[in-house]
Amino acid sequence: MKFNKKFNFTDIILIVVLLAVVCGFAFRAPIEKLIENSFMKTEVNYVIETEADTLLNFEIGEDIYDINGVSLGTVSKIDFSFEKMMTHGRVTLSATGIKDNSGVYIGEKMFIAPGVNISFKLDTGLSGSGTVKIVKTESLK
Amino acid sequence: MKINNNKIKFNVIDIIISAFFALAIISSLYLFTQNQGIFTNTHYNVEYTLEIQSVDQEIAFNISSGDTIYDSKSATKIGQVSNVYHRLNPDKTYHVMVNISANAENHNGYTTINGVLIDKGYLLNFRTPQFSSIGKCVELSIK
Repeated sequence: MKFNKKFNFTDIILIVVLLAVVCGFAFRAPIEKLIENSFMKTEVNYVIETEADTLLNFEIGEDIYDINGVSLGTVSKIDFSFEKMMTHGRVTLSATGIKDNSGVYIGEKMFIAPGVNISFKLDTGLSGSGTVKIVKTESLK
Repeated sequence: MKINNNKIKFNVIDIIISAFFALAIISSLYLFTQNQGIFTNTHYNVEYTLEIQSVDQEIAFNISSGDTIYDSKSATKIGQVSNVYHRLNPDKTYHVMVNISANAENHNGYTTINGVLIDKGYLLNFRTPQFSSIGKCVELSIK
């Protein structure tokens, strides 16, 4: 093997392998994103139970955000619970998410399932928290 | 690599191969010094029980046999549900006991499942694809 003069077969194979590794690192994220968008993207409708005081500040069509400002979906329905003496109510949200074997994710890979506690804030700056009660998905394919 | 008049010359490929070997050695050392070596740990099957005292009836049955359990913080798999028992509380919530089977490791006398520490009395923030809660480990046995 001579430097800068001749490449033999082994050198070429090594270079190809190295290029494959480098390409793997470079293109992993975009390829993963492409697969997610092509096969795993889903419409998520979920219901959060929260305090009635907080619920009064919701408006249908309004977006809610996580504490980092990432959208968690749009309010599509607001219900006050008569069973819980009007102290709590429910808000239904629609969002686009990802579904795989481990569950459903919205926003920046935030796991969502019944029992999950979510902290959120509204456009008005008001923040609150609630517990997810129902999660339904519908494939976007 | 070329040996010319008793002088050894390295080319770019040799340097790259050497770098790969060095990385492999460093990775191996890291693996073993972190006490996570595949040969140095004892693997065994365990069954543990998580108790959730008060689950809303609406979601209490979202967990069932065969579900994969994940640690909520790390999202690593920490077992599979083998049995679930529900008991209705007077306040209409459910007391839920979840039996989970897993392959565990011994780390300096502590039981871990994929790096998640588990022991009797520990509170575990866990989830399945359809359910999320905090459970108290009330039973841990080696199978």
